[in-house]
Amino acid sequence: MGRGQTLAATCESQYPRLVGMLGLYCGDRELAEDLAQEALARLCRHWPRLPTPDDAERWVTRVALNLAKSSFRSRATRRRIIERYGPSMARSHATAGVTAEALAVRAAVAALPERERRVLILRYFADLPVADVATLMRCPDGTVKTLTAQGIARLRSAGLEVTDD
Amino acid sequence: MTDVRTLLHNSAPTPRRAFDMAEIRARARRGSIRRVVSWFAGIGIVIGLGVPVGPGVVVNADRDSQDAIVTPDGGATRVETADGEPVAGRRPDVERDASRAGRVGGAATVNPTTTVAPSAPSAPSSPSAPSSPSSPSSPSAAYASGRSCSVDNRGLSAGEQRSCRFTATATGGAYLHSGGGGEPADVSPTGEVSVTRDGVTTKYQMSDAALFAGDKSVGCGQKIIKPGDVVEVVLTEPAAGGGDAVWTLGAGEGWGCY
Repeated sequence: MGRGQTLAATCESQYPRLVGMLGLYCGDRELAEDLAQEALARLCRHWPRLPTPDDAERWVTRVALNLAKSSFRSRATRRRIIERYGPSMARSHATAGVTAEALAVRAAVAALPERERRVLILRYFADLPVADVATLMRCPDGTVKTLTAQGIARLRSAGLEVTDD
Repeated sequence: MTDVRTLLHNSAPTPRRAFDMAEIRARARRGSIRRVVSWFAGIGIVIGLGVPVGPGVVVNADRDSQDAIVTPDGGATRVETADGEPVAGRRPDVERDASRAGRVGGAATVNPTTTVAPSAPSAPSSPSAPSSPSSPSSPSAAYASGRSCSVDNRGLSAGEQRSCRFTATATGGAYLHSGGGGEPADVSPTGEVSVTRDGVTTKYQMSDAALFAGDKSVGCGQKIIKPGDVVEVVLTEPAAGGGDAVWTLGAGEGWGCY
């Protein structure tokens, strides 16, 4: 498989993963799709400089989350999205093929403080080990663990029945 | 009870838009063109104005109390004691800004009594303007009133700094973040936000997502600024260079933990 084909294959495999990750982070599927495409476009531009294609996943994960973080910085935007995906919307969207439970989880995750949200998504959705999450977030391993515990506690207090791991 | 991994995987949205490699490639090409255009536009501003104003610095002043436009600082280093006295480093950039007063295009600092539209920073009418922070008996008189300001690292070389400052008219926080834009480097730019209140300066050191006040990690700067505080924001590109990702450090209203 040539490097060009590898790029296309990498993008195709990363696209649903990025949309899922960004969708949880932002609470907005359309925004997630847009950000995922932008992250992959940047991957295309950066591709020749990647040491190996295996580095692509980590690189694009980081770029995607940075893009999301930036676009999600406005508290007004966040409030809008939480309202949009809040409990009332969870009920009204249940007919759109998404379960009310899934929407409730998305709303609870979107309501987490940014760092807790990022840690939970990187650890449990992107399935990265603590050390990798710490590297991505440029903080000690202990901070990742603390944020994880805080995030899970907050999900529980939001009414979700969830175990640690 | 469900474990977090299953919960997230079951709840994550799946793409509704089908994967389209051609669209992604087209987007990549558009991005490359935009970056080249931005680069030339930046060069044009520098040539046109004589000094590098504009890119990288945003000051959101009060509409009825805009009295200064702050330019990017090319490398002022300032170390303060707790009472805000500069004790080391090069000349504070406000002095350099004042020394630019009268130069055509030297839109650096204006007399605090002058009102300037933010979109058209003009040369100051008087070089007398703000008092130097080297004698900050009344720091609030030295800095423009404003609600927030932010700087980014576009165009900064390794080790260079960019700063902005203002006298706060609203409550706010501080945050350093990357908007992506390129290769994430291993070492990100660092930020420092100095908040002087009643003559006491508190410095908040910021890395990517961590902000520290003294020895106590507070994660980010939420409501660390109150009206009347004198705020200085300094973004420093790492000595090893920070990759080509764009980083922005901002303080004031609208900035903080979220």
